[in-house]
Amino acid sequence: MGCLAIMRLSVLETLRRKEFYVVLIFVFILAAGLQLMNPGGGGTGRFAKDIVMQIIWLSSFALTAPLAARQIASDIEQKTIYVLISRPIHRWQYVFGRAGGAALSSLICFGSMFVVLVAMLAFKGLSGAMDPSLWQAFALQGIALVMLCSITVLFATCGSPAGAITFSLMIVAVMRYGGSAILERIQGMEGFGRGITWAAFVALPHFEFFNITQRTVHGWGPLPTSLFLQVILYGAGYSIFATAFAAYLFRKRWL
Amino acid sequence: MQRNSSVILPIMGIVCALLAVVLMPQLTAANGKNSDVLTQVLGGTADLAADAAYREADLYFHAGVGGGCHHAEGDHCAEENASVSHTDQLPLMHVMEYLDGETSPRKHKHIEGKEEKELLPWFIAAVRLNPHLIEAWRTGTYWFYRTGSPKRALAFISKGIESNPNSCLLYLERGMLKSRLKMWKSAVSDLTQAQQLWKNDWPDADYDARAIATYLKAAKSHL
Repeated sequence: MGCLAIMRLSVLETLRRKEFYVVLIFVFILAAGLQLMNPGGGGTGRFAKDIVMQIIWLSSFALTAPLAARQIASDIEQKTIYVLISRPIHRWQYVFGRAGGAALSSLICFGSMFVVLVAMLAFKGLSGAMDPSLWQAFALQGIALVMLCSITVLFATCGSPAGAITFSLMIVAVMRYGGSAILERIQGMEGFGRGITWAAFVALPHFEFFNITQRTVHGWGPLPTSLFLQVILYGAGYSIFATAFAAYLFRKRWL
Repeated sequence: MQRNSSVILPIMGIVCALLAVVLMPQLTAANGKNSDVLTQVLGGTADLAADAAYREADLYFHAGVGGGCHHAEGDHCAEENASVSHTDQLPLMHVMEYLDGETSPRKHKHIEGKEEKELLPWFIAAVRLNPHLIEAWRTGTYWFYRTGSPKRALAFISKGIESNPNSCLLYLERGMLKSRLKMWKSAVSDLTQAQQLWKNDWPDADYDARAIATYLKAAKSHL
């Protein structure tokens, strides 16, 4: 119950801020512009879909990291944390509530932007809303955002918000766009270093599993259901673990 | 204090506006005649972005499959991947490989028909970002022609020549295009210009010289 109250608080705080609305307007203008301009003389809308999807995905990451990083820090700064944890709320409930609130807020932001994408595809006459791979991409990105929230809260618990944002976004960038390359490099390695690098690689959050934009844009079809569920399970498990670890660290923290 | 700042701010605004008026022509002159807003704003980054846009066109042609698995046939990719994997598999490696392989497509495929038009915006973006990217002008022209827009192909390559008046390759490309469109007289003119601009300054120069000669001979025979 305590978790839910804090989650609600986080969502309300986010919706009062202006960043999300600015990004939403930008995405809307971009989608409308691509719809009207029709660059290249009209193909099947793959270009517009790709651009808008990438922008939405990147914007959602860019919005989520600061959102999650400032959850606990701003409470400490404004001293509202004393009021919150003086109530019968455990510290772990507070951390889970804040992380959950950040995740829910980022999902609301992402969902709103996704509506723009679906509307654009519908106007283009593409079967956007019907494409199962698009919905899979949406669900996977949603889980990736939850994962990003949890690792950012974890970093923010043991460091400054600025550091947490930098670290978490760096991990997203490296793993999402370089995860496959790192895996190939490890396959080519030998000796003791290979084992160490492998262990570090396995422990990192694998954001590359959640990136099926190429698959969606180029019509390769949806992922097999079992694989899709495995990836979702991985993301959910990782998020819970990272948040639980953050709660453990926060329990030990001197306020 | 508040009064002072309310006076200083408009003064600073006017000074900045005056500076902008003075600096604008100098900056435009320093950045060259052909630089547009994107080049001015992005600077050197625009060239990198142009290369990325050009590569993206190639990625689109291969239906989103990038990396080293280009032009593999049948099970060639699977064999390659199998040879890379070590016999002493680390724990969880097969899971990682499976997840990684399944989430990103690897099969060799080319887009066809109406979908080929999807490549065009990337060529337009590439040449907007770097008007001196000759390959983007040339390949873009080919794809405009291939997708059934010869007039747009001609306009595209002509714009390329406008931005790069000393490029032998662009004259060659326009000459080839005009030959395909049976505009023999102007094809001869462009190919002759290409011949005059030709320099033996890159590995494929001999090949280009032969192409110019062949197309020129063919165009002249139709006059």
